[in-house]
Amino acid sequence: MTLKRKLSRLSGVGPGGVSPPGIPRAPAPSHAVPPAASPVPEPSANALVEPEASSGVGTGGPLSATPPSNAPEAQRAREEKLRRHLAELGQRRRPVVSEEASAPKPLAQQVESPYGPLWMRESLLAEDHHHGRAPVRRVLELEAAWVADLALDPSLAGLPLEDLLLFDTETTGLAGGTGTLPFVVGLGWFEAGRLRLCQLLLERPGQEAPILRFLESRLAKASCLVTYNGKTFDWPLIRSRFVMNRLPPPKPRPHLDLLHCARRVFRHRPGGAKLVQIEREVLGFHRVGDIPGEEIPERYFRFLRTGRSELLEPVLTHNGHDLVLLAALLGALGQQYGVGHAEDPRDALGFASVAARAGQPDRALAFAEVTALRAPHASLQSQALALSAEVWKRGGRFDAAIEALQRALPLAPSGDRPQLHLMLSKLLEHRVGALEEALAHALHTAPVEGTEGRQRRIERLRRRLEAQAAASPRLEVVPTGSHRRRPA
Amino acid sequence: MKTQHPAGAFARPASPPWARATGLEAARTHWAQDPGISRQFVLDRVIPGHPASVAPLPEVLSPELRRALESRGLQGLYSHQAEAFELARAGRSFVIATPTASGKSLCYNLPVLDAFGRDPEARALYLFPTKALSRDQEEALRVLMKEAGLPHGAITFDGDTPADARRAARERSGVILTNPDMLHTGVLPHHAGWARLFSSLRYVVIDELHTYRGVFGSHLANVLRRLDRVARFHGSNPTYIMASATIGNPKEHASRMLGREVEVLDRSGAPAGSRRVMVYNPPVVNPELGIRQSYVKASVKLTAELVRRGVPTLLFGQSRNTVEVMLKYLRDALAADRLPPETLMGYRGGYLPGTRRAIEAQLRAGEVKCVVATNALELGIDIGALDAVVCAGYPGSIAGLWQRFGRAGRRQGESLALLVTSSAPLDQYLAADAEALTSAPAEHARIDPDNVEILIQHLKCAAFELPFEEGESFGDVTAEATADALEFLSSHQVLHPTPGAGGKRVFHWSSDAYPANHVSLRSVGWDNVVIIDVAHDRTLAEMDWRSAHTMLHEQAIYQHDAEQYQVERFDHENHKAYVRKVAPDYYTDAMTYTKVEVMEEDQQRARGSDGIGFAVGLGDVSVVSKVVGYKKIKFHTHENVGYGEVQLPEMQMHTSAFWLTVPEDVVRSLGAPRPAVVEALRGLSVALHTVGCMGLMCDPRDLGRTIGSRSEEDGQLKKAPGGGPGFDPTIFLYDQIPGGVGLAPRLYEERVELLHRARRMIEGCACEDGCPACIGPLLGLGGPGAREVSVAQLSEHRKRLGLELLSALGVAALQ
Repeated sequence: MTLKRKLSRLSGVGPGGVSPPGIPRAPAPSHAVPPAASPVPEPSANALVEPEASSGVGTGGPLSATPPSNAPEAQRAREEKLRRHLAELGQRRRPVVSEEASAPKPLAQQVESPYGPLWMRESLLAEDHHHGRAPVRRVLELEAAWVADLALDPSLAGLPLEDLLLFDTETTGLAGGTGTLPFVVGLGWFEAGRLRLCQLLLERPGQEAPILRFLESRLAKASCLVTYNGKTFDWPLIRSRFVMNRLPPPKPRPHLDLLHCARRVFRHRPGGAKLVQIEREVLGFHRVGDIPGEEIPERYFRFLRTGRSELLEPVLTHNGHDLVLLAALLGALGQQYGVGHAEDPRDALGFASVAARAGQPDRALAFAEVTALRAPHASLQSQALALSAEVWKRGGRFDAAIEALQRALPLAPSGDRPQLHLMLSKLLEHRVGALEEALAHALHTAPVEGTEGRQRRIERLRRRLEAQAAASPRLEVVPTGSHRRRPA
Repeated sequence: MKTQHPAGAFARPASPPWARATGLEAARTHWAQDPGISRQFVLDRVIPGHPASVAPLPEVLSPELRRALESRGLQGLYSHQAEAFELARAGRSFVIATPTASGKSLCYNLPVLDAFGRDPEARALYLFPTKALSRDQEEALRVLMKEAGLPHGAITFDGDTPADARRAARERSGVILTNPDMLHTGVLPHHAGWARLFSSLRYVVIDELHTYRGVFGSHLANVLRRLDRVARFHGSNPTYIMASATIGNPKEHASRMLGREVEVLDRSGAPAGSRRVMVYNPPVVNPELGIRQSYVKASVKLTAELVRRGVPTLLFGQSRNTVEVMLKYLRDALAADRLPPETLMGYRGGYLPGTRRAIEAQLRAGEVKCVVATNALELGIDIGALDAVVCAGYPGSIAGLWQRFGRAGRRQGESLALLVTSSAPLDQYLAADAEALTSAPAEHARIDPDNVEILIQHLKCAAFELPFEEGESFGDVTAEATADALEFLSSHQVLHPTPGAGGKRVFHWSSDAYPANHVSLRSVGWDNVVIIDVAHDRTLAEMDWRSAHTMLHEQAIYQHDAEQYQVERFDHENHKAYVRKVAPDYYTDAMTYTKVEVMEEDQQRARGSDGIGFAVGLGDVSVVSKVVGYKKIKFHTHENVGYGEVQLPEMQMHTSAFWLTVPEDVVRSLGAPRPAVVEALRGLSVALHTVGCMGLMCDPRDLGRTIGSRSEEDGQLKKAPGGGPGFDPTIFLYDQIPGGVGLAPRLYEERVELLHRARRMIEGCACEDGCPACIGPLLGLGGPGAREVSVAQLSEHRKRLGLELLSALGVAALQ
């Protein structure tokens, strides 16, 4: 039995596949997709596309958009010429490079680069461009040290932020692996205070090399890569594309992954660091008609099969928003952190813990105080005070730490209190020598250190109290160490 | 799980060691003195051991490695190890097929470490069928590398590997030990991240090659096609070193696996102690029906004697169920001897890894005296030397039997290998000619890498890994066939052809799916069913999807570590079974209903061709099986004490089948009631199945058998024996493997010989009217769907009727 005959008997190919033409398959939401074997361009949408001379091979088609219907004579002449080129393209099965491909309002333009032809969409944003409420150029006002703190990455401290490279890809899948292609590589960088977006589009699989080499050249000029989840997803994927195209992988650059920064800062918001939510709540930008992420791969595959480049328009728009968002978000985070003012008291606590971890106690205390005073929930306030206490303690200011903890106790939800009692008991016993008070707090520590631990603590405190009483029955306990009581 | 036992005097055996003679010899003397036992031994033969055949350590061996080996006291190599080293160094792929414990690991470790000694960048990939084996080898390799001062490192890469170790595995480790499933889903689809491994891949080691047969083997062959492709992309061309336990066709199997000719090394230079091989055939208790005493009980009795005499013993059972039953019986039997229950342990696939590791360690340390195991212990897990192996029932293949027997007597001195035969046809066939056992050839391992269902899935994975270029072949799949398959995949839009360099089309993966995630190498669903103890809300064990239907249906008694649990709920959709501990006096045995439908007839012969009155055919079929109910079997007496119904969805499989149809007029001409004829035909199918397995030298579980009905006019099949007149009853023999592995076509070719052998077997059997050894016992005595025809009516002259049927169909007795 030949393989061909066996194949004809297979009912399907499993996940990912659709039935070939002739067999009904799930209809696409709005456009009927012409079968692969005979791409039928819609004249209104893509007048420049000739039906393929050889069936079964989708080249992806030209990426330029339709000229206006009232095109002038010159335009028509160019159209004629392009038709001829495209006919040749069908025969040679090679992309045709032609300056005429750049029609008005193109989806992307073909540009010659030292690395080969690139399909690129470029735009230069205005100097005062805002993403929602957030000005994009605020990034340029940041100090690199703030960014290093936010990223908890000291190596970013000395980098010139005006040379950063925003980076985001759109891919044919989320699973990763060598069969996943980044088909839009979105880049952004500042030129004289203005943000330039540069989106590279993969005309068809197998044409990645110029894109990768272009990316590499931009990387070489960049001080730092800025992404959202790029450390886990985009960068490893790009690295594997270099390997697959037999190009030496680019040297690793400093990499600021805003996902991790955002998670730390926005952790006290319900919903956490979901990007659309941050964009809406923090930056005040509402996306309208944004393409859902899960539809993106299928858009590209349909584009490959039909050559209808307008299918990719929403993908490029989406990617463009994501790039601008990167700059706006970094600006917003950095500026709030840098000036020490959080717009939302919940975020202030996030900033406070970042500052504490970055070794900036004063900044941490300032942020924490904002939360302690203004947070909408008592539990957040108590968390902020507990954080302050930790910072005070680390700095040797035990009295301040104790005071913060005592403020925190009545605000804390009952589940958090044992931990506060334990901290208080330890500080009072070991740092202040206030054994009676320490004992009072030790009675409530069982949920965190277990009944046995609590019992040991209590017994030790009682022994010490007895010993003290025996040694100087009439004297009051004199605090030792660096204990200074602050004026109330 | 372990029963707590008070420490102290009571935990010791009641009788002091000197009160009873110990050792193998003592156990055998005890048996010899009991005529009820001794006359049931149908074979008692000593296979002499042989001395070692050694060769000096190779001159070319790297000096550090030589010093490391010498410091272990290794002055030379066994001859097969030396030959392996030469072949590997010459870059020739080979398979090493020597018995258990002949030092196979060194055959691959030596050339690999030698290569490491010369090239700090060299890499090797080791494949083991199970995670446990990888861990064992990782440890052994690390020790040897340390001794040889090699910094290469060895890391097991599987689902349990932590993230930082994964990075180290990709970037630094000299040896990656993994399993085919992980290579398939975790490594090959991410090969760009493994560039260091693939660009310097010198050796690929595949141990336990014999386990890769049927579906799993056919999958692995395709994974290797992908591996070769990826290695080539990264610029390497690895040498394959494969190791197999005894099978009949190691060279052919390995060559098929690799898609090219390989060498074979099958002469062991390792010394072997002498081994006493015995076969015990339990006495007949019902001569009319040919029913023998339970082989399970007999095995327990013999094993108990060995354990009492202090002989470390391994008792192999056929299924998880029998293992648990035997463990329970054995603990009961030895309770009187005050042997703590934890010195007797069960060991089978469903046990959680931690439990299994603990048992292996206790076995090596001698804390456990006896292990009752399924074939999960067949593989090369190092459990040290055991003096005796008892096989309860023939494992279905000569190769499997010797792999189990190989567990006994790893070193010098006599060991015991004992087979206790059941009433099953193959067992009785062996018992009748037990002398032949020691010289019987081992079975062939069969795979079909070109099975279209399997091939097409791997082509998807391969295209995901690297785009295909027009004209490219896929391993030993020709460029033409590959092109057909690529076109097929393109028409389903999972591949997208684009013009590439030189005018050739390039087929790119064009789906957002990750194909390897949807392809299971163990096939028919590698989804596990998790077994949850509701009383303690903990995971007790896991089981593969197909077995779950027969073992975890609702009301089933699930046995685990000699404890019984009842399945309260089987959540079919979410793959969970909820069980609760119970103490029943019975266990359950599922009943499965099977239906075969012909999808496509590839070959056929009308009645009368070849002088046979059957109409025969060969083709693709759909086999639908469904668990319909269960029997309750009482412990110890094995009485059938009740039935229950089960509602489970059908399981479907497409495979190839060979069928024999009895024309309706022949059925009528016999002058017997139609159900009786069908019963006779069922008996005939048992005989055909037995001689078929024998002829193919295949595991009987790989060949399915059922009776259906086939009308020649419209190709429609109807269920038999309930089908009314006008439908021709048909025997189906089919590959019990989705897509088939080529058993049915062989049977079709040999159909005339097959029928004559079946006739000879039935005629030659001494039983009165059918026994388990020839046409099988009468089925359907009561239970759901009990037939209206009386038992007497059916059983009467079943054997005679079967022979008449054969005569009427031209299969005459040989004079």
